[in-house]
Parts: sequence; C-alpha cells; structure tokens
Amino acid sequence: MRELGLLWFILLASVLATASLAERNPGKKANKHQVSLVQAVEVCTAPNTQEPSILALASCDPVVPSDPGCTFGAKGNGRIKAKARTDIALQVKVKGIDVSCEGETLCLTADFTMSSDNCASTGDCTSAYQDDFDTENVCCTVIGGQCQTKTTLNAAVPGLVTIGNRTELSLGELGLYRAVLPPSQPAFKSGLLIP
Amino acid sequence: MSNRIAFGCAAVLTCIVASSPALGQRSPASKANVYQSSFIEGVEACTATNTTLPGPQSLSGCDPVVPADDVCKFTAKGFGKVKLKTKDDMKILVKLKGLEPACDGETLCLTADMVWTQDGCSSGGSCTSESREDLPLGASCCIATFGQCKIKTTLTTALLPEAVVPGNRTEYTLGEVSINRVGDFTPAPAFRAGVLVP
Repeated sequence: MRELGLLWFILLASVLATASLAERNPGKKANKHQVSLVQAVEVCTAPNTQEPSILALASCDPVVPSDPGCTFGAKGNGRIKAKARTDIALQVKVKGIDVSCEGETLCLTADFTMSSDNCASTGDCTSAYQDDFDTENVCCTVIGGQCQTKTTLNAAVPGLVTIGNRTELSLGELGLYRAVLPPSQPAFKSGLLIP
Repeated sequence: MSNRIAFGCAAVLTCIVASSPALGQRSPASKANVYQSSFIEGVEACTATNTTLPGPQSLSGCDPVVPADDVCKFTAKGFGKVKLKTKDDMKILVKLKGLEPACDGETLCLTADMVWTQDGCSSGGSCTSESREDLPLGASCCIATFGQCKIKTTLTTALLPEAVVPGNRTEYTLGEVSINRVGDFTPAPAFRAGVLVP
C-alpha cells in the first residue's frame, strides 16, 4: 500500500514537472528585431595594438575587411528587419554599395538558437547553436548599388516555422554574404556606428 | 616618346600604390544607428542533442527546454525590449515588464557580443578589437521592482566617459544582446534578444 502511494507520488511529480516545462512563458509580444549593418571585418586573433578609448582593448592593426570584393560606397548603409506573427517576415535593404559589387548576389546569414514545441521527441526542444546559418533563399542581387528583398522565413526555409506551433528564435549576429563565398565570410554584419 | 612612356608608367604605378592602401582602408557605413529587439526567455545551451526540430534541415536539438535562470523569468504577461541608438554616443534603453515576483530585488544587466573597429589606435592606424562575448555594458543595469526593470542610459555614462573617443569614428559589430542577472553564474543569460511565433 505504501509502495503504491510512493509510485503515485512519483508519477504526479513527473507529470507536474513536464507540465511546468510546457508552460514556459518565453515572452509576450516578442515580435520585432531590427539591426543596422556595418562593414564586416576579420576577427582579431593575434593583437598587436590597443584601441584608443580608455578601455584599451587588445586589437589588430590593420583592419581587414572580411570581403574586400563587396563594401559600402561613400553613402552606403543597410538594415535587416524581422517581424514575427504567424511566420517571420524578413526584410533586407542595403543602399550605396560600392560599384565593384554590382551584379553580385548577397544572402542572409544568421547566428541563432531555436526552440520549438513541435520536435521529433513530441516535447519542447532547443536547437544546438547555429553559427553562420545559411538561409539559402533570402538573397538579392546588387543593382545600381542597391540590394533589397522581402520574404518570410517559411518561404525561405519551408517547414522551419510550423504554423500553429510555437517557435522561439534567439538571434545573434546577422550578416549578408556574397553567394560566391561561404556564409562565414560576410560582407556586412549587424552593428552600430558612432558618430 | 620615351618621356611619355615613363610618365604613363609613373601614373600607373601611382594608381597601384594609391589603390593598395584602399584595400586596407575601411569603407564604413554612412549610417548604422539603430539596434532594436524584443527579449525572449533565455534557455540552457543544447550540447547533448537527443531530438530534432521541424523543417528540412532537421536541426539537432535537446528535449526538454531548460530555462537559463530559475529566479528571473517572465510571467504569462511578461515581455521585454531593447533599443540601442547611436549619434555621438550610444543611447541604451531596456524595458522588462511582467517579471516573476521571485525576481524582485534582483539586479539585471545588459551584455552584448561586440567587436570594436576604430581609427587612432596606439599603432597609429585603424584597428579591430578582439571579439568580446557577453561584454557587460558597464552600469547598464536595473533592479527589478514590482515585476519591472528599466534601463535608460548612454554608453559613456554606463561605462566611462572616455569609452567613446570624441570625433573618432567607431564601428561596433553586434552579436547576441542579452540580460544577465547579477549573481547568476550559469553561462546562459536570463533573457535574450529574439522573436517568438506566433
């Protein structure tokens, strides 16, 4: 009788624990992500100088563009927007790209982690960290120094967001890379500029 | 004739020499002044995969999803957002609402994965900093009170006045932007920039 009671207790505890995982509150109204673009530069791995602010961060001179074949012109700028509702609307807009990049195809790459309640295991699950994920179909061609596209994540990568299921997308670095190069070598990356 | 050829050669050489530094020079954007995002709850990193996510890629995943922070979480009505806006400085705005009562009194701070690129480095030229992950943006912090936490500051106020060199063009490459709870020593942040469907 005691053993039966213990068994019920264990069963109840495990059911409650499972329910609490499913009842996470990932964040209401989490529907917008917008970044400006800066020129992507090579990672500094062997510092040989210090940057000039009081932080004096270990740095590398010279600055090496990740993709010297596609840079901003004098008035170049760009942004990437993601807006979530039942799918994720994606918008890429870059202007004033240097003439050397004319005719090139630029595609979106992203670092992210995704959580979904529609996993093969039937429970909620979180993906491994995706570094330089190639969105494949979120691309545009540089014409007249401009490159822009509008699409949705489901149109670009069908099935990644399943309608009616909950998908959380934790977003890190976003970038645009030339289709002739790997996504790990983007021309432009999410960032800010002062002044 | 030979003078003309010599002049032509000199012109070509000058062009080559002049264009070589251009490769090393930066072509920064004319404008890159806004970063804004919603926050979603941070979850533990998936390292030992045991399932797959939907979609043609069948991304490897971990079941169950484990919240990164047991103390600071959203309630059912909780939400958060961040906005970074630059001009001569960087304005930092963070708003978190609907936090669990357990989070009240806790200090939450903004961190970002960043790389600095700027002119006037100690070498005399332009330079790129090492990649900094989860870099605390100085005192960009708030104390959760009645389920709310708000940060309104600037980079030079939160960090140091000299963190931005006046007149010196600085580009920041931004990766993950997060909110960490002070005293939480787990590597995953309580909240991360991101979006949620639906």
